[in-house]
Amino acid sequence: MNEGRLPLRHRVFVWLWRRTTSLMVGFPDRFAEEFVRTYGVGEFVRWSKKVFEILQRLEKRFGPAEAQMLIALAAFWGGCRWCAVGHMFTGNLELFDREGELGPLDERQIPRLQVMKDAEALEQLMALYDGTRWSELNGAIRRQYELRSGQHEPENADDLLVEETNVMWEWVNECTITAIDIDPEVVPPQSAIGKKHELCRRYRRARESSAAADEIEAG
Amino acid sequence: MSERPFFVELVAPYRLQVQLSGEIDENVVRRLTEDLVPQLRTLGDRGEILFDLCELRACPTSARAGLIELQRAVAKVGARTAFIANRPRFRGIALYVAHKSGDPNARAFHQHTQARAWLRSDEGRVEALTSFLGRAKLPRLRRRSSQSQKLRAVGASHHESSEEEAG
Repeated sequence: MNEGRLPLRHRVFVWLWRRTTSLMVGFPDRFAEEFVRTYGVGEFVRWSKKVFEILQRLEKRFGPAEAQMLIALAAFWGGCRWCAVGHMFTGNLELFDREGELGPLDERQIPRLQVMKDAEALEQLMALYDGTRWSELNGAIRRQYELRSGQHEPENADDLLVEETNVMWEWVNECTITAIDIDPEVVPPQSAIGKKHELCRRYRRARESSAAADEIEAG
Repeated sequence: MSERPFFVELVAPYRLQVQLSGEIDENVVRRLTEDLVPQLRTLGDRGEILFDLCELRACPTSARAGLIELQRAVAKVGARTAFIANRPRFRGIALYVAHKSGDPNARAFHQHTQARAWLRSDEGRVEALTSFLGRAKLPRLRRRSSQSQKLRAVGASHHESSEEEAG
């Protein structure tokens, strides 16, 4: 990568983008410079619009929490820790906010799953996203993996949407992969829900209580 | 299974396969570079490299730095690279190496079939993604207003193909 200084107009764009994302999601996009360096401003803006379009379509089809979880898992299979943890955190917050429930996968467990073999990781995901509440997402998660690993071609509208999600986040991960070793504890939620600080605090407390209860149960 | 941390083999006229095993460090990567780069030069820009990371267990930061340097040498020769890994972590490391080296012709996959298709193609990594997204955009955005309409269309095409098969 050419890691020299960006031209002035690009630096201005990066500054504006970071300001905008601060206002939108509560923190500046730490990858803005990397995106501009890799894609240039025009391509970055063009495909960023597509990112939001896919998010909206996922939300419409699967629901807001599930949309974020599918994005997280698209990044998960590509090995990106930042997006996988951040979007799973976002999905879990959406779920906690709407239903008062903790999501099946604690986002902080993602790095542990990412070192497993694909088959083992998929098996764990299938076991976690079990039961009636998750039956539709469970099928979509399995299909997402099969599409990404080239075992199947898209066959219907859901497949196409999931495949687009896989490819779109491969595009995003081109730059977010630079945070490959980031501590999962410091990855923020990737949407405006992260600005609900009280919700985030309640969610963290609920996770800790749940983990403590699991430890007691395990003896 | 080989005990060696790396193994290089010419598996087709212009294709080198490199298997990395166990925990590699910067010394392993240095030895690999010394072995691989001269072979690559003889293959030239028709060369292809398939890195098999399925037996890899650990690739610390120091080894990654060496792999980035190696990938820069590969890019300089103009050879194409596919990484295969059966763990998300190592696909991530492969993408990290490809990105940091600035090699547009290196990409990570799950399976050999995907890797072979990539090595046969001539698109760059990002180009392949955006061309898929560009193709995916046009026909379906026009019908985006109704998900059920799309599902009906898919259902209709399935129905038609079933009829053809039945016929």
